[in-house]
Amino acid sequence: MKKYLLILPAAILLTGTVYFLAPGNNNSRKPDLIVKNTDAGNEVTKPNDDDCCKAITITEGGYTDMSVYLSNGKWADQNGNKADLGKFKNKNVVLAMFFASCQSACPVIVNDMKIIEKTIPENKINNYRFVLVSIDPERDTPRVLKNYARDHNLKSPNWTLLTGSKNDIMELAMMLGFKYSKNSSGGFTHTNLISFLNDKGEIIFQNDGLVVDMGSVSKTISKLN
Amino acid sequence: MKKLLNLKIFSIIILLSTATLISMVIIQGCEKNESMRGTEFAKLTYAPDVPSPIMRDHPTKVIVNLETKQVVGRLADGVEYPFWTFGGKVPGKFIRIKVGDLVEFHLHNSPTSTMPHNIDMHAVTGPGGGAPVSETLPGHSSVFSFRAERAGLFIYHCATQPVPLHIANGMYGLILVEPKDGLDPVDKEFYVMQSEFYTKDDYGTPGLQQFSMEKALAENPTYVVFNGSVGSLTNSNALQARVGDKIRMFVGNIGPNKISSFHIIGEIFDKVYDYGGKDVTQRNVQTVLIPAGGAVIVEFTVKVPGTYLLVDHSIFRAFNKGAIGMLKVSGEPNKEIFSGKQKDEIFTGSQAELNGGAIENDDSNVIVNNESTSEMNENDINSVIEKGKKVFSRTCIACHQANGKGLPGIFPPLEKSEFLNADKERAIGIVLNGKKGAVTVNGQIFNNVMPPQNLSDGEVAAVLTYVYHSFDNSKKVVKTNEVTKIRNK
Amino acid sequence: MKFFLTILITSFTLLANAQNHENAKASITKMVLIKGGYYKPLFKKNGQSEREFVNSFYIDIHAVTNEQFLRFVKANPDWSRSKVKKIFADGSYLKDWQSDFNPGENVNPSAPVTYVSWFAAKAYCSWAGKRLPTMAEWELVAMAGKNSPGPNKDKKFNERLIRWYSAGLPQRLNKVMSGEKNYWGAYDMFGLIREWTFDFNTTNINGTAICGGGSAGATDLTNYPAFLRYGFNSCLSANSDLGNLGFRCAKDTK
Repeated sequence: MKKYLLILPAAILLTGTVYFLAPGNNNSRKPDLIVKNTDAGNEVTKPNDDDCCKAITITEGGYTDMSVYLSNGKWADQNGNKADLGKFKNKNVVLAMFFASCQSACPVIVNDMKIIEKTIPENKINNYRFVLVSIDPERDTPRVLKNYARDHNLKSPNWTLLTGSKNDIMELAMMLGFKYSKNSSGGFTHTNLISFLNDKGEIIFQNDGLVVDMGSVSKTISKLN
Repeated sequence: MKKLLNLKIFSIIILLSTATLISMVIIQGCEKNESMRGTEFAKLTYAPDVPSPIMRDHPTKVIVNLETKQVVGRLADGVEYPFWTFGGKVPGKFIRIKVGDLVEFHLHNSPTSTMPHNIDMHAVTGPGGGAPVSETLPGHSSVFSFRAERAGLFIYHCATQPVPLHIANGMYGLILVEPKDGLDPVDKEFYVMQSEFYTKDDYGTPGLQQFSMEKALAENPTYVVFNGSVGSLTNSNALQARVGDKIRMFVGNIGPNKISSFHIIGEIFDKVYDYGGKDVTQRNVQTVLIPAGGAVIVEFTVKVPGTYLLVDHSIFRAFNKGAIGMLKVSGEPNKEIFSGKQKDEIFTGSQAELNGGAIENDDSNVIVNNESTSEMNENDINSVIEKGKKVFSRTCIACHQANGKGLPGIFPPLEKSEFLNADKERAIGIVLNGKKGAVTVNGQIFNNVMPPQNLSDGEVAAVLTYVYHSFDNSKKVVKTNEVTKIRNK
Repeated sequence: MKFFLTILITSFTLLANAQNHENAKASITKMVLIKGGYYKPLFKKNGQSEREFVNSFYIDIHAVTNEQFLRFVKANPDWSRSKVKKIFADGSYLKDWQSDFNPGENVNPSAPVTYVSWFAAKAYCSWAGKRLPTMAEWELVAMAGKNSPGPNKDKKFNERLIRWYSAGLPQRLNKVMSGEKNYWGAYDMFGLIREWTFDFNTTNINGTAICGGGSAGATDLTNYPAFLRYGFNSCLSANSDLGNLGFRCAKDTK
């Protein structure tokens, strides 16, 4: 009786072993299958990764091809001094465009930038500059900007508020991809954008909207000097 | 004692190993199918061809390349239209993938385009079906990825502003997501896409056409076609199959406005996957509805050779706007299923008609109801003519017509008939017995068959008298006893 | 001797000036005055009525040509194809020109210059003492018919526009002013190229992204040419360079 009890599991064991060892049924992976498209009219291209890491020409002034500082705009800061964006060369810049009489979105943006400021480690904070550029040159004179900085506790030299010509403002906005348009009431409709520029003035990260993506921000900060 | 212990241990080991083996087999079996591996470039095809069924049993990464292009092409014979296309033709290429596949989609916009294009695929579960992230300027390419979550047959189309115009100009196609176990094997698969075109000029007007906003808003298409042009599936472009082929058709309808009533004349759809879904939802169906922006999968087996017409059964579209295609099936006839024409016979109207509806069955041996002539007074010519007119209107009018002019070449006239006037007895004989063979009436030859008339003697007399007194004839009079004499001859 | 030298120097100077003047003159397109008026944007801005008022301004009667742009590039070599910075123009900048300072045979010098970015267009207009027109200004000029300042309600007009928009890129663009002149005296507002505006990126900022669809908030759902135009604008980046996109300049009245 006991003998027969053993035969059944033994048979299963045998079958199982044969099954496993049989060709095509073992665990090894099949080679990856790559089938080329032979359709003549179809342009087959590899995924495009040449937007990154292409050789860039360094121009005079140490700016690269993609530097925002190429814009040549003439600005004035909250202290009434002439300013050139190029003065931020060699610093990491966190930049947003705003207007002083903005009630809803801009205060959130400024606050977001302050939060970002707090996450920067002590030993690096001096390498950073926080820049707010006004899109309302008619009303946001340097004096208005100075008051704004005081009211919101935005201290120099870390914080700079800028005003400029309509042309220069639009050019900077275009470089950043920031959209704004004047309302009939004198206010502005605009997108919400915080841009991170490296020490060459290149945009390396942008936070779109009013909510800060802290994960990406931390990653960006860790990449900067 | 030792031997027994050894045996016990041995048996436990065997049992455990077996259990392990069995579970490994089961796990491996599941894993084998579920894990994604490999990369493929998708093979896309132009209508009416379909890429071959997917043979792999696991999901994979599929790279799809599609180019948008503005191309002037043929809409109908002599008629051109400025199409906007996926892949240079209308409809766009057929994409075939499997559920679970990760698709890396490359949308290229030709540098010769004058506006941006994008793609919304109904197979994509994500905002806009991929449209916002695939918006592409001329001379640029966009890449985005999605996983095919659901099996089925789905439409894709351009969704750039203004969306209706991009669709109306030809930017659409089909994407098939095969289910896990694939589709049953068939002999032929075809890709058919119905769509409308709205042109300023009427159907068939030659030359380069332009889009008509007015007609599009009124939902009044000029052209309703299969696969982008009139005649794309007819005559030398017809779909081909052999007797016995199991056929599957992937049929889409993009609109942009109309719903399609898809039917194949002479066939029944054995299986219908309504709306292009995963399951067979109907069997043995004649006509399926395809919503605008929707699709259907139909399967059927052709058993008899011949030409089968694909139509939108909103039938004016098929005959007057181009919604017609052909499936030509070759092979051995099958007389049992379909015999073809067996006979051609003459038919001159049913007997019930001739008898004024008084008798309901068609039995020509039934004696006629005499009521119509029972009140006839043979001495009063007017009453005879009146009665005769009544008989004429029930009986003779079908062939000889109310005006007695007959049908040229077919039925002889009674008007000014020399044939009639020349011989009264012959006329009586014809009404009683019918006439076969050629006769010349008023200079024309007629070679048809006039059946014997099922009338009483009185009725024959009356009707002939009426005829002789009408249609400019000789005004002869025919009496009942004259008819009786000839009948008894 | 002194006298002779003076004459020589004077005439040289005069000639040089004249040459410059010629150059400058040729670069400066004739402009026409557009009287202030109302136009109806396709997408209503927040807090705005359906019609927007545009102040009077001057606009070029035709788009900037290859010839004119060549003068600009020669005077400002930083804007030549091999030197232009990637942030200001993408890889297709002046793609159809034979070389940096030579448009070549395939391009009609009197045809509008295309494959130029917004930055390049803006730089040109500044150099010429002008500026880019705003979208509102451009639309105000464009909505005029042949005989009135518009809006042009002619259905046939919309049909012709769709017909033009439907065609692909022609092999060679026609020269400027070969098309129609409208009420204001401006040529080729349609039928030749699309044109950059100063604030092209401001259509429907907070509404549905219309680069790719979405018509919520549109003021005229049957104006397909406007949808095509606004949709096109919404998809552009300031450094985009396309074969059917050029520009003309504007100027304030004061």
